[in-house]
Amino acid sequence: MTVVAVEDLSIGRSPSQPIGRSPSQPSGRSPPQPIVQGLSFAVRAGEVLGIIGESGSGKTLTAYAIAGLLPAGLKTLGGRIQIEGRALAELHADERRALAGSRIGMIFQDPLSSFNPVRTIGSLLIESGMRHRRLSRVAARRQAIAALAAVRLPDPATTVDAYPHQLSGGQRQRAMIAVARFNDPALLIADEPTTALDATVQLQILALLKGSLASSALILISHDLRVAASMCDRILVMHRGRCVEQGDAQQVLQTPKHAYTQRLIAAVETLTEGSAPACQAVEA
Amino acid sequence: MSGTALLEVRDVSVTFATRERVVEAARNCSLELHAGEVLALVGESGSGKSTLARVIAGIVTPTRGGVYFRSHDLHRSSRSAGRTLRQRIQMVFQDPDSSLNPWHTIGSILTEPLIVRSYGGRTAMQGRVEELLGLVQLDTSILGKRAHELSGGQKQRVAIARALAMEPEVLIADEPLSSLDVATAASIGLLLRDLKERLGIAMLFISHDLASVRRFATRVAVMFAGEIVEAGPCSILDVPAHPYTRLLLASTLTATKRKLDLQLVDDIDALAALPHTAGACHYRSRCIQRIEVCCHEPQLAPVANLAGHLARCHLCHSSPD
Repeated sequence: MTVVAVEDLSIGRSPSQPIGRSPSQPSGRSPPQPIVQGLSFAVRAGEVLGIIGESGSGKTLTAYAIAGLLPAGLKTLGGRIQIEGRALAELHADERRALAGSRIGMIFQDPLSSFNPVRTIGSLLIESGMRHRRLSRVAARRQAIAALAAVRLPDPATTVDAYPHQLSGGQRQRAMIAVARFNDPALLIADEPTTALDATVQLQILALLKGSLASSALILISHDLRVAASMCDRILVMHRGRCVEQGDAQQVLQTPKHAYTQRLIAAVETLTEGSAPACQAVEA
Repeated sequence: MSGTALLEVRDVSVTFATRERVVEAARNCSLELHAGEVLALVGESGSGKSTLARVIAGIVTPTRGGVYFRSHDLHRSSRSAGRTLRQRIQMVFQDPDSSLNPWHTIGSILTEPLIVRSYGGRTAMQGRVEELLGLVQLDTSILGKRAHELSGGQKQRVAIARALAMEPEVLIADEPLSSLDVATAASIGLLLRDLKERLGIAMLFISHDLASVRRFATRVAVMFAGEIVEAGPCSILDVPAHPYTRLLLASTLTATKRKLDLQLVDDIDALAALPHTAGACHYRSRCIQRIEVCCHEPQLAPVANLAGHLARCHLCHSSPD
């Protein structure tokens, strides 16, 4: 079943409302170039789609558009986003929020800045359970503790009352995954979920994400082809707001067609492997 | 140990006291850095690698032990001598955003170290700045810009150029690739290697990514909980002796690794939490191979078969019986 379908998506500044301080944008001028242009893809239940690209390529904005989280001043200029067959644009704002809250789970790069520092980990889960699943507070708390246990956080009955700063980086990311998948969402979106983490913790978090996939689809956003290679069924490569290549992960990684994908793969190989490691060259 | 080391770290320990407890950020660490080599310091966050780097840079004074640059004690020299010594050791930090002053133009950021070392007149300095930009492959057009106008990779190049302005013999690069995306990280990695070869400077390369260490370093030291647990030439990564090094290697993703080692993750998760007891191996609580003898602290000792290979683990030193 297709969980999310994106057709010909374009994202850009809303012509009426320039973002931030933008003195060089006199009104009445033609609208600026879209930041994301002509993007189409679909993700099915249980499938992992990797969206790969460098910073500024539009991969995060695409994810935000799907979750209805585009920052003020940016909007979808064209195209359609369907979640489980419902077109986002045709929904009322309240319905859209309810859909995002219950059917989409977001996992951000930096768990410290995406958690509210003055709220406990449990309060987020409890509020989400009460609002989207109509649970009682007591039942929601019980579910929250179970959710923290499911992401293998130590001592979940205590952690439920912990504040974000009391957890380590890896533990915070586990808590974020617990929040994201709390209402059994159809779609998980993970935006650079392991970029700030150590290698061993990265492995554990990726394994946890992979284990979350029984029923949901996952969109994994990363600049790192290595993460995508280990996780994804399909890969979409973005460059300057456009999709330059998409297809089966094996195929994209082994026989990349677009020059930009080839460059990305060459960069990873420069960083990690290749015929003559520097150390041998020096020691010879 | 040989007397030819450019820089020697001898039994350095660093303790920080917080209100609640005393943290031993580094314990009895010894290292040697020779001219023209890249020594990688690897470990997870909190392992003490950045603390050790800061001790070597002269920013943090060790609680015990010392750092010797060309046999001069870096931390116990007279004020002016220490200052001259420390100028020979320069540092590049992980996050160029916080290490470049946002109010200053790139031109003034690069000129300042030249003023500090009284490089010469205006034209001489201008020529040197252009030379530095050339070394890091940047265009002179960025001189009038400020840090926020540059990309992450350009900022890191400026930070490297600033460090090179002091003509250091030792360059410490603290996670210089970590905040960059893969393509930029690859080009900065190549730049550092190129600089090492062209200028012959010794480099301390701090990283948590063993894959890039393999590519860019000549020797490696792995740290865990403030201690060096394994060290040697980079070829030890093909025959790792310490279980932590093996775990790090297993966690490293490469372009060709298509599967996560889920068994390994299960093994780590399944380990019963074991509080550290005094006198025990510090890795014991995380070790999937722990045995009884691990309640005694192992020494950093040679491992057979490879010259210069040291490891701190009972499993690779105990006799076969």
